Amino acid sequence: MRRAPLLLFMLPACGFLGESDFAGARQAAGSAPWTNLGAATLCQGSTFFGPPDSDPVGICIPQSARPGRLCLSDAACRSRERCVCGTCTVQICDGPAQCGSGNGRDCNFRTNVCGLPCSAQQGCPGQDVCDRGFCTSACLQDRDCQTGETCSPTHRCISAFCHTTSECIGGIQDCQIQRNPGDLREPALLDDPLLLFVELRPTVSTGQIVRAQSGDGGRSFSIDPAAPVLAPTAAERRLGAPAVARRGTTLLLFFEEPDGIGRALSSDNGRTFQRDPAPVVRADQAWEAGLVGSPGAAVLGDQTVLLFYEGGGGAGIGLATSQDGASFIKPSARPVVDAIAISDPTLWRQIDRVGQPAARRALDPVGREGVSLWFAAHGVESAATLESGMLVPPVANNSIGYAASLDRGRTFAPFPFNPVFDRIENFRQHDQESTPTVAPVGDRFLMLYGGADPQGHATGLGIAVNPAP
Amino acid sequence: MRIPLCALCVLCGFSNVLADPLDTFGFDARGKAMGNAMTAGTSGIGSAFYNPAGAALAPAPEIGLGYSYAAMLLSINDRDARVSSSRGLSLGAALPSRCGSACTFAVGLAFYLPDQFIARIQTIPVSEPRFVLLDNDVDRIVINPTLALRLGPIAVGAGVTLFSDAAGNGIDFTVGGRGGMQVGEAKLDVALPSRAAPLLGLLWTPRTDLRVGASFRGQLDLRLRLDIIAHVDIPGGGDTVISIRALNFYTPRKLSLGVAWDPTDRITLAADASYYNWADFSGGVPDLRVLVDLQIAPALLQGTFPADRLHDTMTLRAGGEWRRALAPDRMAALRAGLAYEPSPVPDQVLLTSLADNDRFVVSLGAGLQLARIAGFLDKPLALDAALEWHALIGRTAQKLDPALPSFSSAGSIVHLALTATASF
Repeated sequence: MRRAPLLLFMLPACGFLGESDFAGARQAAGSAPWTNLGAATLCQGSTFFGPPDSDPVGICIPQSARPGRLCLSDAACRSRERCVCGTCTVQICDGPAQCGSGNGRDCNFRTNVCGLPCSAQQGCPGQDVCDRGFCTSACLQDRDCQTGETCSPTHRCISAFCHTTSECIGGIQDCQIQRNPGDLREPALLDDPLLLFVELRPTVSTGQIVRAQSGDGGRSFSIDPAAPVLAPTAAERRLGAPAVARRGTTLLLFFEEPDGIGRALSSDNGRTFQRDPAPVVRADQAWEAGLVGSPGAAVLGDQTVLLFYEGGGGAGIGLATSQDGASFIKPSARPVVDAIAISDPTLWRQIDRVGQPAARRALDPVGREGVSLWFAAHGVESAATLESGMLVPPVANNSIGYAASLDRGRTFAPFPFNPVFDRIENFRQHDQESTPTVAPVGDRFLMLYGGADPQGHATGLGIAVNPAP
Repeated sequence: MRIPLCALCVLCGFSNVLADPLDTFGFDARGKAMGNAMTAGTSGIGSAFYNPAGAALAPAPEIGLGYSYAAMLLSINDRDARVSSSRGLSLGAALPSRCGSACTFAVGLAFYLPDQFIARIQTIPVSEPRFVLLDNDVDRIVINPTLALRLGPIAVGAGVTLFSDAAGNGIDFTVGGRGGMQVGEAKLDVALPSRAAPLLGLLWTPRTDLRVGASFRGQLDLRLRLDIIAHVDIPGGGDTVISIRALNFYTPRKLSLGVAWDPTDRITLAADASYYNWADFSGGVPDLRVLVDLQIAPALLQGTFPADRLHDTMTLRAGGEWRRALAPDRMAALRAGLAYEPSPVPDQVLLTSLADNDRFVVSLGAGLQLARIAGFLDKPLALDAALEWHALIGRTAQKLDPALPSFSSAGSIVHLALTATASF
């Protein structure tokens, strides 16, 4: 009893144990804002795809080196390794966006590998040492280093970037290619489980649809099965721009084919598809100008299929609906979203193309069924700038917009602060984003998009999340 | 220093935080257990918060130390909102001194110190839902020094509630090359000037078993004024000024009226009505301005946001205490309370997504008063405990624009408090 008051007065001290700096859950609705996470990794075997106009690149590996350990995520790897297509190894890079976001890594442009930056104030993990701004470790021989590294004459683990084995030490090292060029177009995500369908163009004018799955919540995907799940017939050159939706136990895959938008069905989670003999949607409206493509599909609660598509080569987004998922009608002779509807006098101007829709059914907290629509549009966000005394107009670019509908996709209200995703290079120049696809992953929404630089050169698929990590 | 050529006002909205942790949970365990219906019923360590005049009614000098913890079981869209637990130390004092047969002069103090933060400011985009009153506001320091004077049946009190701004000349740094040398300079000038709001209190004791009280608290907030200036001293470089103006921890004017009645020697009943002047609040969305001189001239972009439109509220509270002597030197008390706290936040049908709910608060508590602890303390010591359960009435914000996300908010709060009070 004598000690009880003392204990009581000491009790408050227990509270000073502290708490993490930031609490509070961010609530995702899939609308905005989106945070860019950099390049998406799509693996084909042990290599991943890079920009279509890039060279195959890899890393010089000692011929006697043991293969890296198998992994599902970076957490399974050592300090300088990343999980690259299921194997722990240092990762090559030639741009900062390729090393992921939020993991503390950056591209070391001296060695072209993703590394952990360090300084006098910011040390390295474990036994690693800071060497010219990036962490490495001291070594006596190659086996002291991590996968993809060799021991340099200065007793530091280093990596050597290569295109061919001839660039490595002859007879001792081989160039192990990590990244091959790949022309990937119009990704389509499906959740539960998280699957990716994407058009892969082996040559400039050919296209086929491949399926990939993710084991790390969408940070990377691996093509599975190895063969395309849908390929053009001998008489066709290209099938592409996939859109996918689940209707009961069946996967519906919509895609561009020569005469319109085709459909294929799968009952094995997208591993194989049975293709319809004829397109389900053709260009038969005046505004479509003979062109329909880039479909985006959503299935409502009553199993009605909403098929949104780009018409007229960027003239707008049209809607076709189907009660049975097989026969489609167009409820309107006009697009449901066009450039006028989404233009904003301040934030998004001079829009001259809109299309590439991605759609999802959405339920708000009061149970109202709605449709979320993401799309790409080509317009201007910035103002003209004065550079060296000359007025330079802004550069139009592709960005991602968002709209929502509460009447089964018949009409859409644009988000008041479109575009919802736009990467800014500087005040005037913007990187480009197109062909969005969105899926919920955990308590966030994941967006895959087709990226390009301000000049329009494709940079491959990128990832963004809402809300920010 | 170059003159910035133009200003770019970045559209960047953040919802910020409102109110006072003691408004949400009360101060001492006795008051909390009685539903915080203490405007007329306070007479000791809680008086600097509940009614400054109450310190003059303390029978003897009192010092109390307490600790409280609140589990914030709140959800948005049926998902855990992960609002951090609110916990902290409270120190109260009421030091009366006789100045005549019917005159008492007293000094009071109410001090609350969260143990994680002195104050915390978190910002997220204004369109994302968050508990605007229950998120950050319960994590700030509160300091209320007061004075009181009793003349016969009338006691009056006055004091201030203290806080600070975050201001100063900001952060100024220069990087670049000068005279062939690389230059990096930084200057930091951030001040926390104090702010104060008045506290006034009145207690009238027309009969020995009846007390009527009124109290007033002025408006208080933390004004954030911070400028960050970057000089890039290289050819083609320029100046950038980032200017942030924000209002946080807005604590509205409060006018409380209360009555406390002792129908028997063992029982005290109390009731309060508190009026909160939320409608005067404006500035829920901070202003962020970026001035740029990078030898290019982007045009002015002005963001506009809807007004906060908070409305005034009236909170009703009631509580009771039953006392029983266990022994000549020991007394026990059981307490209960009930309160209804309406939300000042209007329906969120436009851009902002401020989550807040009407709340019912049910409280229970017990106390043990010891005349002395042999061998340890030869003075009276009171040990009090309280449990508050805040039930949030579910609320759904349905946006007019379907492109803006609607959201729902609900949940409950469980708050525990312990107070030890020594009399001298």
